[in-house]
Amino acid sequence: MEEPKPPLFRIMGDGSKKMIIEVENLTIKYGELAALKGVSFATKGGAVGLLGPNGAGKSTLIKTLLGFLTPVSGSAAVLGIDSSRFPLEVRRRIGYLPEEDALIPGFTGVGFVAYAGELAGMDYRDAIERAHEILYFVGLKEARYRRVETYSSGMRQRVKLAQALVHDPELLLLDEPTIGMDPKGRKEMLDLIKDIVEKKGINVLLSSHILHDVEYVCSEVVVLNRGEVVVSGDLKELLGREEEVYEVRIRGERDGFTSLLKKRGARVYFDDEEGLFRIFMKKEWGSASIFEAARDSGVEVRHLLASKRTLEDLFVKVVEE
Amino acid sequence: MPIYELGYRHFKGEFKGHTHRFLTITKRGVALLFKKRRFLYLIILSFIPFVVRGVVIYIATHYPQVRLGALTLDPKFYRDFLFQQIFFVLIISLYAGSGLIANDIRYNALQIYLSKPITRFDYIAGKFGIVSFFILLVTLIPGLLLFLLRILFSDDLSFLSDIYFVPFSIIGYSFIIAVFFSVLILALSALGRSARFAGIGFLAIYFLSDVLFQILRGMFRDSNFALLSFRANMSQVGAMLFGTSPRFSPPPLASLAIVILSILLFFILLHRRIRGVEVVK
Repeated sequence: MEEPKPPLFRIMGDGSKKMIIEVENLTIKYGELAALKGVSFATKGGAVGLLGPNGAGKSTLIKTLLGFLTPVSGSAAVLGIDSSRFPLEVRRRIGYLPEEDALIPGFTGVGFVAYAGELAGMDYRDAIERAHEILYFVGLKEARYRRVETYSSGMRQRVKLAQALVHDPELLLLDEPTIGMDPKGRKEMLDLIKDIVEKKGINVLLSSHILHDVEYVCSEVVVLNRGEVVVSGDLKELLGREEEVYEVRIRGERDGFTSLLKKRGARVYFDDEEGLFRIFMKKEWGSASIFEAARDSGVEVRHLLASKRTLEDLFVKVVEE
Repeated sequence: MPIYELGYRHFKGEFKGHTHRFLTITKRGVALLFKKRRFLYLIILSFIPFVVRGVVIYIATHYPQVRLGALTLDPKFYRDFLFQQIFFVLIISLYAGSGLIANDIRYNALQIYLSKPITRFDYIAGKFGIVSFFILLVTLIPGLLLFLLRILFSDDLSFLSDIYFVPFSIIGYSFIIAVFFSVLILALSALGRSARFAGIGFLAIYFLSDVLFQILRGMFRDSNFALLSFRANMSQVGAMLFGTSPRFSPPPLASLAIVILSILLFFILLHRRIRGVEVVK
């Protein structure tokens, strides 16, 4: 049965810009267990990272965006379309790269991607033509004529990306796109995703445990923990906000120095491998407060370097809180 | 422009409506199976009974003096043909259907299918179309061709007044066979990741139900236990549709009810096993 036609688009927020994903007070339950609890966030587009520890609700959120789950309350709109009311229209306009190895055996690379295009509603001739182009674009040149079962794990990731791109989606949901890839392949894949976002104008929601990947590709980030959004927004702003980071090496008793800094409100982590402290503190305090703490606790500062706050730092902070 | 000079281009073409999306799955599935040589041989082999019966029709119409034993060109002739074809239907269902969903589960292909704009009903309908296409190919097509041969080989068409309903019976019986065996094999295929398990289960359900019937009939001297056997029920339904005398004592309508009920149960099982939420793990 045809599903009813959704609105072409919806003007959101300030009335001037269409949101790519807009989630409002979304609650999803599996029986009594709430996997998402009143989640709200909106993304304007580009590349958005979706982060969270295991069980945070990332998969549930992706399922909801794909239209497989009906909210208990609230709503999830993709490209201005309510995903629970118009799941087919949403899925026609987005591409999904699953985390797991997902192939349809028996096909060559071209056959597989063309089939994916046909499933999305493309005519066979269009689908086969585009399958060749997309497979070339993702780097599976002559390998596109080989059967997909014979592909290496890196090639499988590429062919999964190709099947997600074949129908020219407006939004790509990428679930761990670099999993199982060697460093060179991973870099190529990330560059490809960056290119898709920056030059081809396709929006990306990137769910990954590899924080470096997210930091490399994404301009926005949404961090989930225990079914709630703990932080969301522009990545640069989030990383540059409030705190400064210093890498410090000392000579003397570590415990006293650490407890004194903590007492004064800093977050202190010790890297055993490097023998370094990473100290996060409010911008207005400045490095002088580290020297003060060293003096008060009777230790000697041997090395001090203003460092950059990474996504990992942010992630650890918000998840710990 | 050569492909190596192309980058990513936005698609400017049209998307087809959703209504016939399942046909894509059927078409591709059928094409993939036709590429397998062994399967092609099997299909050719399944036409041997058709050729034999075609020869029988030819002899019976051109050489009426030749005695063909109990064979007469009555509705039973066509019913028996379709019932015999069930042997090939079993093998074709095993070959074409046992891995159709099991392999998709094994290779996580469901994630590819259901993340596209198709419903799980489309998916099931598409897979159902693949198996039933081949079953109808070896039942409906040769069945109707046999009837056509009878007409072509006969000088006198007066026999038509007695068996005018046979084409409809062939269509009805073929479709019941196709739906029953397609849904059964797909339901079993959806139960796990192993095509082999699905195949063994398929044969076990079909033959063990008949063995059970034979044992109970032997013990209680009552052929009403035929209702327990899918094989016997298929025979009873065939007898009903072709207006021939049933082999066993239960009313054929009861057999039809059991077949329809089984189809519904297998379909519900199949539908429950294909779940969109499992696309994202």
